[in-house]
Amino acid sequence: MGILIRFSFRRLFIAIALIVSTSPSLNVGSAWAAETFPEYDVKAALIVQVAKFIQWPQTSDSGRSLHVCVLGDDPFGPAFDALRDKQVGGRPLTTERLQNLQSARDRCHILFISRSEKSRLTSILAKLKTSPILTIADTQGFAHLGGILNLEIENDRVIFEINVRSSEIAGLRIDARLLELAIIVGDEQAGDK
Amino acid sequence: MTGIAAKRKRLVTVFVSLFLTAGSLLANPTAAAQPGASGNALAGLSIEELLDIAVYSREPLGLHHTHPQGEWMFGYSYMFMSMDGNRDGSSRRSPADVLNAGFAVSPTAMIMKMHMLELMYGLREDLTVMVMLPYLSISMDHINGADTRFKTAASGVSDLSVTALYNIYDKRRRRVHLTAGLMLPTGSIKERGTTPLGPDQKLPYPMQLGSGTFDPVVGITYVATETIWSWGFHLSHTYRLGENSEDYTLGNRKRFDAWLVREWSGQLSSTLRLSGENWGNIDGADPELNPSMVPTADPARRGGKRLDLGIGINFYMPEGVLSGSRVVLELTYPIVESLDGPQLAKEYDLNVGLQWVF
Ligand SMILES: [Cu+2]
Repeated sequence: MGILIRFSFRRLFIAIALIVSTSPSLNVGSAWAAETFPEYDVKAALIVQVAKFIQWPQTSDSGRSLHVCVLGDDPFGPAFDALRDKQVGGRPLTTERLQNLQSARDRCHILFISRSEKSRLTSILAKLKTSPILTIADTQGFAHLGGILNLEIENDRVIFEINVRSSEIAGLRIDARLLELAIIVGDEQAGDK
Repeated sequence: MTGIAAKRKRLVTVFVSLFLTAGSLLANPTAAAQPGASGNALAGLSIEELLDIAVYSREPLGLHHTHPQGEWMFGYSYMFMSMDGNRDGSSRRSPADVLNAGFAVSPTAMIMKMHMLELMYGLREDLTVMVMLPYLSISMDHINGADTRFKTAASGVSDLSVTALYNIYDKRRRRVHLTAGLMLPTGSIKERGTTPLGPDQKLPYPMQLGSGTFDPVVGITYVATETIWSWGFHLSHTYRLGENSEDYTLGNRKRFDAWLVREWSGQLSSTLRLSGENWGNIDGADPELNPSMVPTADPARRGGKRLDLGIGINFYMPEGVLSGSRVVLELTYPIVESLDGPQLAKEYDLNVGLQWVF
């Protein structure tokens, strides 16, 4: 009887080991790779592509490189470091993880504001308002609060919202081709005016 | 004992297959070397193509976790625990030792299987609720002075628990949450079975499915997350309120867990865990049980403490049969154990879990 119990336990284990090792999703390298990717790897790649459609004012082009920053907890991990090998319009990307806003204003062209800063969003955006920085987040309501670009997930796919007014105040020009792909949103208080 | 040697061998088989499975997954150099490796495949894609890609969120859930507001988690897990041979203090006792100590019967081995259904929901950003319903199957092997072997078994629903997890600190990848739960006496404490004494005998304490009392559980958890590593610490204390209908109260339980998680790729992580547990003897006694008959019927031979080492792997399944689920495998092995014995000693336990977050 004890033997029987052990046998059924072993069968269960073997069955699970088989499912796990033969599941197509776990051929980590290639089989699944054409279809499904980690959320933040896709979001990091999107930031590079989006940057191609943004024109920063001449004055803010302090250096030749395009500086990408993350404020707060970095959700990207290695995908963020990998941005350093990329170029946008001939300008190499540089990256930096920031814990406070002070340094962001003079250095960053693109600022990803992590969800860890959710409770401070309003004050962060108020401080950055007229700075020529492309503010990006993936926090619900970010673009309505005055952020420029917000990434959301819908049906397992990334979609994005753009607040055009915020980009104008920041002095950024967004190519119409990018706006066509976006959901255009306005400030929350815009209706009350 | 040849039985023990055979079990050891099976245990080694389980270990080896667990790591062969993990190894075959890790063998893929691109995925193992660098968690962000898919970035290279994504770099060549246009913005339209990127917006057309299905994504999955890959945060490992961790051993003790909470959920954001509005998020549900459904979990099923299966635990298989084997206990083999007796221990008094930290030294082994053979069945002959137990019988020579004056008991009519000695337990020799026990198998406990547990199916657990788990539901979690993020009620608020800082408050998660959790309901757990365990179903137990227990079987115990015995030998008596006449060299007769017999088995008793019990199965059924165990104690349902309802727990609130409250985040008190959540900053810079460091989180602290408090847990407060209540285990309800839904498990039977009147299990009966056939023994050499006859049919329909009350089964001893470890064969009962619940505590029979309302048991508050309080705990605190600390979790730290970095890019590929995360670790945490959990402390909890289970109290028993009052006395159950069979005139006894199980001992309180104190437990700690310390764990380390390493993420190998978006879909694979491994865990290393150290758990310590300390549980008291029974207060009072079931009048139907004779403590000199078998050690498991003695309320003063139920307490003990144990340090366990657990190794586990977690998979995230973005597609296939188990699409969207997380699969958790963990094997736990005691490294130190001291029991108010003679009492059955733990051999190992294996945990297989499936979790869906939606
Ligand atoms: Cu959960």
